[in-house]
Amino acid sequence: MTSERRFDQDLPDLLAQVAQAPAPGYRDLIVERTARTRQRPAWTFPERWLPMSAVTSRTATIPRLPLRIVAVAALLLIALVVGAVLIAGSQQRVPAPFGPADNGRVAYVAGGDIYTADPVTGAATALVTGPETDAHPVWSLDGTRVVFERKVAGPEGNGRLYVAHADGTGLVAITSTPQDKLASYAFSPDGSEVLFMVGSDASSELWIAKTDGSGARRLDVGMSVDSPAYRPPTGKEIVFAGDAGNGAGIGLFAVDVASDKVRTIVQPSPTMGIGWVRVAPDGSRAAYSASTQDDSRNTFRVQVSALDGSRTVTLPMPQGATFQDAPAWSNDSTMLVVTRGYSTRNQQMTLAVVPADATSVGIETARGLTGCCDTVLAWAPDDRSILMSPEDINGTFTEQVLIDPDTGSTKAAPWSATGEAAWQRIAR
Amino acid sequence: MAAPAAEANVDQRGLVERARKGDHDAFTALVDLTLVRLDSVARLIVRDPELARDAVQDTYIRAWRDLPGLRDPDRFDAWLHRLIVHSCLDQVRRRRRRVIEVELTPIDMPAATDMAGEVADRDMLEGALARLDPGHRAVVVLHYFLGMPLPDVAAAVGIPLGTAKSRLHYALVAMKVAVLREPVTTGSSVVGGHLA
Repeated sequence: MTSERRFDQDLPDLLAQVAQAPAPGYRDLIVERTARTRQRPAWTFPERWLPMSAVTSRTATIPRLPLRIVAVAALLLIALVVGAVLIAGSQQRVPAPFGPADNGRVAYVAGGDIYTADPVTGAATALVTGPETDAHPVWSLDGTRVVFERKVAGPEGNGRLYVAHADGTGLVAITSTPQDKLASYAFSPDGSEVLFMVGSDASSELWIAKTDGSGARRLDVGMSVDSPAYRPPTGKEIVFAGDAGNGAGIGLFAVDVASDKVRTIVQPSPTMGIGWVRVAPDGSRAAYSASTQDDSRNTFRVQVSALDGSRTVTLPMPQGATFQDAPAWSNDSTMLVVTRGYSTRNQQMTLAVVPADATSVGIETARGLTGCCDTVLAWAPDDRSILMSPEDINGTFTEQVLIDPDTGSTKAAPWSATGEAAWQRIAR
Repeated sequence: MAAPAAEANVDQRGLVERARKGDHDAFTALVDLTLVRLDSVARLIVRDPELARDAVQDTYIRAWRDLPGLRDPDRFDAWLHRLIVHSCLDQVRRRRRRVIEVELTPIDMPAATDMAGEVADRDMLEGALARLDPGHRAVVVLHYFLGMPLPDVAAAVGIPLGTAKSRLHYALVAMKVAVLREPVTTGSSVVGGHLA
């Protein structure tokens, strides 16, 4: 037999040998049958109207569907679609920066570290730990990051602000110099900046730091600042209580972030103080605690002022109540929760949920919930509960409490914090 | 190359042009020029004389009927080859449910003669061809028997060029394996047929 090397060369002749046969005996049959067959008119052939090249190679030039390639392409397409779905699914949907959202995790401090807890089960996860003392986490409005203070010289020392992702990674220092009395820090609506207040009560400054750590700057507002907050929805303005000094009193102001230009919302008064400013999520109003100078008793009243300066209302109190303080807005901007007192000082206090339009005294919790000063209130993102981070009479944070805003019923939070807590917003 | 080319001195183009216009005598002349070739191609592809005969008849009937649609007479051969390939494959498909038996010819092979060697080679090649499916056989036959370039083979069979190449490669490998590994028994009868 022919060798393998010669096989290809010999194949034509071998085929010719195999194909050898007598002349076909059916030639006449072919002639006869074709003679009885009518030809199709030329005009009935599509080829007549097509380019010549299509005549004999039409079948070849219209490639048969390459099933293998199609299958591979289909698999790739499916993989791409699945991948896209997985990627999209793995990427956290973020909520709008304002308005009701779903409840995420609660961030809080315990033992100088930051944890987050499932608000239902209380199951906690360490977010930022280490030998440093970390304090007061605040979520970004989209719930993807946390800003907190890290003390550089013990729990009471100066601190720097850090931003971390919601899983604790990507830690970035956003202030370079340790500063005293960092307070009131909050993310801008777009998350690119964090405002913060620094300094003593008499000379508190308003600063803005880039969240990528690229720098910070002080806003020159010409007065001591308290309770600064971005005005929704753009954050182009920061609303704050300002003390111009010289006994002029404390007013409500807004500064344009781009130009440092300040406008007055509520004129300062020598007889009235303003503090605890909270801007409504819809950006239309600010609630704050107004007080008169009286060392013998608490004189706090919660007032709500339109941010265009057009109108101010004072939330009503029921008979026997002596003061209201520490307002916090519901996410839908319709309700306020406040602390309410029935004595001259911080005893027998309740929490009250009051309509922001001041049409009623609202509902109250049982008395005796909190006894002192900076009891912090925060609505859950879904507005179905209120988180209270209370201080006792000694100014020490006690067990946190969840309040039903509809009934005033309370229950202990299922986590154990030693500082103010913050609730993460997540997409609905 | 062993492909017949008896029509070298014949004005095939003229015949085609006349046949296109309904001249049956011209078409008969074309049949005479091409019948042996087509019959060989058909037998090589379908491996059954009766199927080959049916395929060839069908090819000529189609050719006569559709010839007016052929705009380029110079493409007549390529067109005819495409018709015969498809006709062969159609015939095989129609008869697929029927077992096709290849003629089995006992071969007496005196070992010392070239004639015996040729017969043995032919027999083994027939066996190797029989191992291929008709689609692969068509590629082998068009390329090696008719001497068509692979792009033309692909066009005639109606498959992509890459598929034609892979079919040819597979067919050659399979044939080499069949031919080179099959022992040749001299001095005795060799059953060289396989079921297609």
